[in-house]
Amino acid sequence: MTAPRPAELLGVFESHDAFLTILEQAGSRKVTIREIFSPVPDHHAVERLAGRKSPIRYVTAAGGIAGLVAGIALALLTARVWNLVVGGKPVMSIVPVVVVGFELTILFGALATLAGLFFFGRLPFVRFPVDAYREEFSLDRFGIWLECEASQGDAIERWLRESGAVRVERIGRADAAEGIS
Amino acid sequence: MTREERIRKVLASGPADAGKGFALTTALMIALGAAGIALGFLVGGANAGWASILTGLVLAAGIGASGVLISAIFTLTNARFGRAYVRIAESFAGFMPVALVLAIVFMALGGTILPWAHAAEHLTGGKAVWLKRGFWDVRVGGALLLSFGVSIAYLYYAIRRDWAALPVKLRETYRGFVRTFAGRNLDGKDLEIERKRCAGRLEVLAPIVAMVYAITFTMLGFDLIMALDPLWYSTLFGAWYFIGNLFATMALLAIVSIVLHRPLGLGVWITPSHRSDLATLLFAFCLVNADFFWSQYLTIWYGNLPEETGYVMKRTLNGDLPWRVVSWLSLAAFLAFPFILLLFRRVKRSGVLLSMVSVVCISGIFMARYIEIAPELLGIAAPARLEALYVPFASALLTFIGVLGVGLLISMRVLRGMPVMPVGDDIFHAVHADEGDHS
Amino acid sequence: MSMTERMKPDIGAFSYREVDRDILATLGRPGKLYLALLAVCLFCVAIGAVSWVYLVLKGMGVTGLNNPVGWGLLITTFVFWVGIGHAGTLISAILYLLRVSWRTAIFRAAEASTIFAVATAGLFPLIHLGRLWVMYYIMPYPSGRELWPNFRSPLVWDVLAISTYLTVSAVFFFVGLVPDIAAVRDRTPPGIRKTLLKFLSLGWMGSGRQWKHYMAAYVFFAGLATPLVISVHSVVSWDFAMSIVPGWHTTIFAPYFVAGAILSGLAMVLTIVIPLRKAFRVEHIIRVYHLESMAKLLLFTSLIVGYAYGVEFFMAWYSGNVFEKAIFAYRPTGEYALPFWTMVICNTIVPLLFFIRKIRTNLITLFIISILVNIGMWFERYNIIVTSLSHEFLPHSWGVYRISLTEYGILIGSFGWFFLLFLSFIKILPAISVAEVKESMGFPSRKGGRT
Repeated sequence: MTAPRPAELLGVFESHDAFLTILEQAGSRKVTIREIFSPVPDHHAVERLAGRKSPIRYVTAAGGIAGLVAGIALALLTARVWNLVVGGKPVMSIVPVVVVGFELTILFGALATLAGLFFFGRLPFVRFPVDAYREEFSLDRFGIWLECEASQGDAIERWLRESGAVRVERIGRADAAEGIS
Repeated sequence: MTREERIRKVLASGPADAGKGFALTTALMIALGAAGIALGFLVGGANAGWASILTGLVLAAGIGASGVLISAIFTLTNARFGRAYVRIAESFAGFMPVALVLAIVFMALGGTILPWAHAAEHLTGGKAVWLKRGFWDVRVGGALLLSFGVSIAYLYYAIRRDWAALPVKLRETYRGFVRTFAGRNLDGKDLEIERKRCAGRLEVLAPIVAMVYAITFTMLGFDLIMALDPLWYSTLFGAWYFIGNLFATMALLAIVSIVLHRPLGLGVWITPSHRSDLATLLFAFCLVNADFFWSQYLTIWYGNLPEETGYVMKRTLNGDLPWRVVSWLSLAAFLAFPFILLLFRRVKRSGVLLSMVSVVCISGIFMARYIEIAPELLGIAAPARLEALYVPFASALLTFIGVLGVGLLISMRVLRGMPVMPVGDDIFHAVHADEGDHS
Repeated sequence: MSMTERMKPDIGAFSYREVDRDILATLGRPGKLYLALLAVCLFCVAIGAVSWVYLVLKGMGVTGLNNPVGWGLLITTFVFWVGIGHAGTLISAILYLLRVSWRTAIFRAAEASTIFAVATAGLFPLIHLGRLWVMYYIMPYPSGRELWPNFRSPLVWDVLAISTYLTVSAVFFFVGLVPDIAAVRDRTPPGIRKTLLKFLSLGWMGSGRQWKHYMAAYVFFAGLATPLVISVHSVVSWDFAMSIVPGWHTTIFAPYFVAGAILSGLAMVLTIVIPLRKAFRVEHIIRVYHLESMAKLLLFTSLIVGYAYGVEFFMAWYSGNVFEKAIFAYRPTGEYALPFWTMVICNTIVPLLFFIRKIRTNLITLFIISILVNIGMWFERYNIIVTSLSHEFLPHSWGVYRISLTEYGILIGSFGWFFLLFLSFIKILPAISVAEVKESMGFPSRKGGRT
């Protein structure tokens, strides 16, 4: 006989400190946080979720370097091909190439960052909305979608309410759970 | 922590004493400076010696005025970060007397080496009026005195604002000329009103300090450095000079606050994250400095006008002396090196690494000033051998080290006369209250 | 108000819900004033369109351009609009990295004005080409005859710089908008609009994963956009400084133009935001403190511009260069004296009034001075470009440029176009950043206050 499916609960919070408290104590209560929701950028919460820092910075750096190389190559190689001496200045010279390289560094770096944001942030998120998303999360509520053993479900629900959740819901259908990851 | 507790905590370690190590180091630096001057005059010749003095002068004047300017900028922008560094920056006013002495010595004795002073027949247009010895001396002296005067007025109110925030007993622990200067007639006054009055005066003086700095140092850049080649000119030169000063001073601020971290009792107030903020500011000024360099170089290169390119060619092509070695080194030191290294968070937060990068930054600015001054004064020497540069360059470098030594010695003396953190500043208290004082 | 109170422009006792309601209410049904303004803009755009079509049909001769003045109103307006774009990126990116708090309520409107200003500016190289259907010549593509753009030319650097600027600003703008589009989406009843917003919001849920990567990307966008503020207008200034024309070939142009750009950009943001906050009734979110801070920054850049004027004149005298002296004597006294003095008074003297606190906190004086500054900045570009070309090296080739009706029409059209884009934007998407205003308010705490 298979183990009973874990219970999925959604805690909706109005106050941020209650929200953070749950995140902090989640480990000790043996619950897994599947996702959090917030209407505002929240460094504290993201830090408490652990996990590595966003790897976007590597993508940005790679894009920037690619842009620099592309810019220098574009300017130098086209000068080599279309090699008229203009204004008495040398055909192949680093000075004008600097400007071209600089602009393309920024351009490719920004586009790479965008690509990185889409890739790592899983944007556009085509399976929107997930079961646990509530429209109030873009308004003024914080949400915690967590998972615990089926037997603990009621206890965790009580804990959430006592900690300050304005509402606790049970998520999940009989079939496989929809997820974000 | 309440405001009073924080004030007591700042004053707990007493007047800032940079310690024996610092005293020995500055003594060594001053000795090296004296050796440098001797080397320049005795071995390199009068021109080499005066080139060293002039380089030291332009840098000392720059650091002296920029220190107070940095504090004024924080006041003007209501900046929250960097408040912990304000006092050390203000103390760099100690470089002002060094600059004044060098200026007097140069004007009195070294004026004959100025190329334009004996090329009057070649000067056309406004230069014939502008570059005349008496007028020049009055302008340069006047500019220095004006800038320094306004800075000292600013310092007066900044320090006095702190005195007005201190309980009388604690004031007594600070002695010396700084306290006498700024702390007069405080007894019997309503201290809070006095503190607010000083804060108000600072808000008025801060923009004045900035504007006076911009104008006087533009003029000093033109008169002391650009005019050495009287046929050449660049409209951005004055601004390039004063931005270089600001950049160098910020680097010096990083070095002093890191090296003297323990003796000055800064540990409580300056954390790695503050250091990171200062490093970011240093990075920003590195970029602005580089941008001003590039704007000049690109315009001159592209226009390809002989009256402009000669100046650059002398310093980048193999001409009289291999100056291009110094030019390239300077570029690497004030642009390439700090730009790349200050991208890394680890470097920005680490005291050791940041101070090393800052040393490179200052040396880059030193070399930039040197490469602007020396080729005009050191004339022709054939063949173009690198060895011919060794003595003048070493002389200038050692002289600059000596200038730094004297300047820092006086600066730490100045710092001893005031609380090491701006205890009279509301924003300082607000920032540290928000960050949760590091008890 | 004490220093510390002024520093933290907390919007007081409002809740997230109230902020959300107030900002999203701006997207409601447009009122009479809005429709009237829209009509005026459409009329101006129509004038511009007619003028442009006339120009294309009849040729560039319908403009006043000729020898020696080959660059006139069209290039002036081009530089003007590129400059206006800079304040948005400054406020959005640079002030973000410097953690300046007063940026929060206004940066969205400023960013929008950047995008639309650069989009407007981008039209001008096309207009100025005359044969705009061959504009693809400037694109670097491998052609059969191995023809390439000349990457050593500042004009080609300009193409790169402005396209980069438009792209990066648009990306930064859009990414910043995503959480707000999600907010609008969630408040919209089901229907076509909601489906469209679902697409546009990229399925944003404010989840931890999304915020984590978003916050990292945002810092990098800000960091990448920051050097653009300096570089783009520097490259534009090099269109002039790379020549050897007296009055153009001078090293100070790059920082001078950048300061001027920020000056005109801030003035335009003030011109837009002052009526906007009144019309949308968001005076409690965009407060006088924000406007005052912009005024101080405007004053600072105006001082830099004044410094640049002073240094240029000094250097013309000091250098003794015949041609430099001639152009700097011509500008205040020649045929273009009126534009010159308008420029000096509007850019350097009028903004000095902002030293007086009463003036920089009064909405009417703020509005009037911002308009005067923009007039002054347009005349500054006109003054630099046209007088220098009019009065170059050889007296035999001096000539005077007169602006034609067609060019005036295009100028009016550009203003209409810019404001049309802006008016459209403010009714489709929130002109104030919902998520960041909420973030700046501090989190709601259990005790009912804010942390």
